[in-house]
Amino acid sequence: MRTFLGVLLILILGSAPGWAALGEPESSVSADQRILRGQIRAEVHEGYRLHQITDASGSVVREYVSPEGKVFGVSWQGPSVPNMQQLLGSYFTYLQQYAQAQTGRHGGPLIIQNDNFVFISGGHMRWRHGRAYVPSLLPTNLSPGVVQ
Amino acid sequence: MRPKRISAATLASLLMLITGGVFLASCGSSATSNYIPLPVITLSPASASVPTGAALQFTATVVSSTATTVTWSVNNIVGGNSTLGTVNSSGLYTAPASVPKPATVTVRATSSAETNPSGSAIVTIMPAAVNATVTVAPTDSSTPSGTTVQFAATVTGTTNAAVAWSVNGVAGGNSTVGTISSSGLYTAPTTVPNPPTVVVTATSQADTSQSASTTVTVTASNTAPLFVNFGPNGNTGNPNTAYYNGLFTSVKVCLPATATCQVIPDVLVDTGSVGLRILNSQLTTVPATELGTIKDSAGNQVQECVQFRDASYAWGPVLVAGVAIAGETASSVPIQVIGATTFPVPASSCLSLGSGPSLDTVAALGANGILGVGTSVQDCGLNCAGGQTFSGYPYYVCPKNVCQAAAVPVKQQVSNPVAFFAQDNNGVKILLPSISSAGAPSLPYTNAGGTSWVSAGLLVFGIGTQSNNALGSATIYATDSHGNFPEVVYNGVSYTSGGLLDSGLNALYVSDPQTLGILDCTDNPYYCPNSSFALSLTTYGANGTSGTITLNIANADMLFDNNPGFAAFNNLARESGAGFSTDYFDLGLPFFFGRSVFVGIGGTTVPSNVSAPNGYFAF
Repeated sequence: MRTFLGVLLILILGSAPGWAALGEPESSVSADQRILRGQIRAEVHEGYRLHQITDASGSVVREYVSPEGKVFGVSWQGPSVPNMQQLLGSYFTYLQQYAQAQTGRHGGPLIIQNDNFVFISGGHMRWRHGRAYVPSLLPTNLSPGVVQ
Repeated sequence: MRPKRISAATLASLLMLITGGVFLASCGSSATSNYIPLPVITLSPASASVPTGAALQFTATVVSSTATTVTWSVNNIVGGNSTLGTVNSSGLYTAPASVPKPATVTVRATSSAETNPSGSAIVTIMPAAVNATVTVAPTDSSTPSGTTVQFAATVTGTTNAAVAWSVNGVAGGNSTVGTISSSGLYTAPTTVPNPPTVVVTATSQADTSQSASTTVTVTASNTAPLFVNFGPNGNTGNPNTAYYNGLFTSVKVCLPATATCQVIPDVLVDTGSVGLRILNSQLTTVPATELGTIKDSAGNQVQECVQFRDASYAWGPVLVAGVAIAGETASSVPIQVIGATTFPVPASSCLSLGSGPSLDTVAALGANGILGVGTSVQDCGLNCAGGQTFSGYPYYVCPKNVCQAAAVPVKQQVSNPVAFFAQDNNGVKILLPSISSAGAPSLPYTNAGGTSWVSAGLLVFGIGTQSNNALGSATIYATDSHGNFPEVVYNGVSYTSGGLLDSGLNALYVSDPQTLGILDCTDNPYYCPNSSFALSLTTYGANGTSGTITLNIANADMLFDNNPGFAAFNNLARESGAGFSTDYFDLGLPFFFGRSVFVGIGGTTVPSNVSAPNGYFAF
């Protein structure tokens, strides 16, 4: 995290739950943990909880959980793209619809913005980043900008 | 036609034959038997206008009591000549190829009879009708400095095929822009001119209002011409699919350690990726099956899948080829041959962002290949060499038709060919000409008369290795360990994902409509501000440098509507984010127009005391 903004920060190394799929309960994630085989940590911020995992390539995946226990946002950054089907859960459908509508290369970032789902895939060959969130699951008083 | 011979006895009845109705006093029926009239010769027509190169049949009417023949001449030159026009023994006059001075000549038929009476006609030679069209070949070529190119002009619509040659409007050219002979042999200057593209024009001599021009780009041994011309798919006329701002060059690939090579044109020049990727469908004389192989310890051919961030992907084997661009050569470079595999697509790499299009056709790729000349040597590096794999992992082997991730030593990974050149191997410079805010038809471009033209770009190999690639006053922005500007500031907001200079992108990918306060177009993917929108960015280098870039965003609808045939725009932009502090600024080809942009490869010699271990951009 670049800024902490006076949040209550609790670091739990190693023993935290893994990461969940977007829109699913925080408690549903134990199966996901083995996929990334990396270091996990969890933080508690004002208004949300954050799970962060670093995979073998050095890519960092962050998962944002609302006080109600639902994953409202995910982000990633590093040399590779994480398993989106795993990370986005049922929202992967939006990505699939976008991808299947493409006929060729434009080379730029992939941006999906609608009322149900916001997604960006950016970066370049050796460094990928992106994030996704579900506007309806975003806790009140939180800006989408927390998903970094 | 033979002259007509008429006896004196019938003269009276034949007077009407005589052109112009001239009364011949000596030919009356009252002539006495011992009077022998002189032949009288008249020509028909008596006067005429003839276009250059055209023919006209004259008829001589000889009124004579004795058989006679006539000799035809032009301005008293028997048979005429090429300047005045020619006339044959039958009276067929052919006008000269160009209008003589004076433009009037006299065609004469002279009798062989005593005193050589003659008849004449006045001919005015006119410029031929403006039906002449000129074409010239080869079009938009390039040639190393000091070498020659033979041009040929084809003139249609006139019998006079002669043309006059000029270079940049100078008849015969000169030592700065190159010279051209009367037969169209162009000799490039020994020093690359600035700009490097010159215009060769052939002008019809029959009709000097008609000409054809083409460009020739003069290169140095370390430079290759760069084209912006919609690429191999051409102008689709649809703003959603037309490949505006695609930057292309030619790459020669060879079977390793042989002289068997093939030039692949229309390869995208991409500073945003690393490594050469060629479509299998384009390899003919250098088939993928004869290239060198990269195999794992069990002998399985290594395959690669790269899924780009837009969900499109490239799947095919890693093979070894000789690579030559301009005068630079590398004897063996690991490249990817897209589509040269029948193995199933590994979903965890190729389809991670969804089932996007496979880039294994020209139609999908918009190019015959991609030349990735970014800031690193390999496309993956140590992450793919250590045996640990991860989602999105690119390298595979496929024993028994099942693909599994495989470690590939760094030196066998798909690589930036520039780093493998024998010299000039520490990076590239991309030099593009300035263009109008309305855009340009193409790079290079010339109109038919050669009065309006745009230079090609140049891809220059090496940085600080030759007189033509010195950094000069350019500011070096060392990239961070991710290959990015570590930070970009817009409107007082710091964007910590930074940005990239990406010649393989056809637009400026900046911010989002809400942040900029402008609109997206409704019928294409670009921005459509009401009026041209200026954007000021501050970019930071990992070495502590910073600088301000000013960019302009035009209304894309207006750009396309005003000039539907144009391929190059320096102000075409679209969204890169959704208004977050992690948004990324990916500055595509519009940024490069009017600039020299250096892309330094990490780990190579920097011609400066700047530390840039991960490579750098400089401009």
